[in-house]
Amino acid sequence: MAMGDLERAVMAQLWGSSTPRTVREVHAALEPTRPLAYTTVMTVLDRLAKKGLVTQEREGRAYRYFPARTREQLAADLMLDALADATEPSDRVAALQHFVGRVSSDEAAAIRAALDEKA
Amino acid sequence: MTGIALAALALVLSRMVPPVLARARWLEHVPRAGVVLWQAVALAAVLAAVGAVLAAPEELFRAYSARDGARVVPVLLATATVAAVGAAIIVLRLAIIAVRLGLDTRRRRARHTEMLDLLEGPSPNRVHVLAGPIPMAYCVPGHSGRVVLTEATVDVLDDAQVQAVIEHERAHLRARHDLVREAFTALHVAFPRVARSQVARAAVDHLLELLADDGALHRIPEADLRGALAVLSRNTGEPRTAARFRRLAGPQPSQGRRRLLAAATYLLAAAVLVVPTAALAGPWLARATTAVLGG
Repeated sequence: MAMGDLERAVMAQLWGSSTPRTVREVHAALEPTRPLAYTTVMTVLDRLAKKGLVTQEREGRAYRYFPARTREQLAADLMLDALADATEPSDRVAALQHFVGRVSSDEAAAIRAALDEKA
Repeated sequence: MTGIALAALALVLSRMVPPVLARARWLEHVPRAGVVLWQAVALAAVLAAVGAVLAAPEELFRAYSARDGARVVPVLLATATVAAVGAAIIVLRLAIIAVRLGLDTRRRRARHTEMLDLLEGPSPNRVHVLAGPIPMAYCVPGHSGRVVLTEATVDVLDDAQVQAVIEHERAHLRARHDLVREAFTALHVAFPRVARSQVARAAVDHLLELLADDGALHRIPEADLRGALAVLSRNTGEPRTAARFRRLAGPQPSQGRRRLLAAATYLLAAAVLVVPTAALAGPWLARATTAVLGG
């Protein structure tokens, strides 16, 4: 399975859980639907932690993992990224191409406020 | 002095031509040719700057040697070296800027795409709908380009209008407008801030939007695209969006007239690149060669 699919499956597990999970718990939850090595789950969680998508906390000899951002926050982050791209007058290439061009700074501020409320 | 003339030309092309060209409404009828013209102007400006740096030292030397009546080979070699180094710096700077811009853009896109996939899973038609209260629609260019709409966009538009937005973004992705933009930005940023016009990039972006509108119109009715534009630009008050709307709604020049206009624009683009070289660089090259060969 591709790394992207694995990361998504693991994130879905963490997002769906109300409490931080250990590697063993994530592995046990994924096992029935896809045969996975325990170490693979560990690697994936490690990668996600490095990317800042999950946070680890130590509990005795095990680590527990929980999402650094909720789904909603992540969606808001994406929109903020898209927004920054549409307002930036700098020397960068706009990474994205927007349907309705540039966004004024006033409007961007209003949108940011709305997204912050949500996130 | 060829060096001074070329430097002046570079400045005119990078600073004075863009505001004029940005006001040229006729380019909106031939956006593809318009983009080519803009690229030609930017490239010609860089070439003129390189030419100026190449010509100036040699000319200084010639002025000096004419006064002294001496033809000193070491001095000639030194001036040639100065010229070559100067030109190399400009070209190298452009190359570094282009690579840096490209890497930075790709990194940001990759990160954005990764987050999209994490949230939504890979979408079979590469269209993602993000949960969110703000109407937004954009594409993430690249070899596996994505179209992204927010739920708010889908809510405010009807189905046909949503399709129109998707087709507009797909037209961007198909034609790789991002590469055009990248090249233009590199040429543009290569100039010192005082010597470049801010309107140039906005004008090229606008023409690319028009091209994407035209691309979408092959697949969806014009009224849907116009409807989507009207709804989504309601709060932005962006003059360029209004211009897109007017262009879709207003009378179009006939096919023949548009062809003629496109041909004229391409010709102008070619002239911008060729004429300065022929008129300034050519004669200087001839004089310089004669000087070196001791003719």
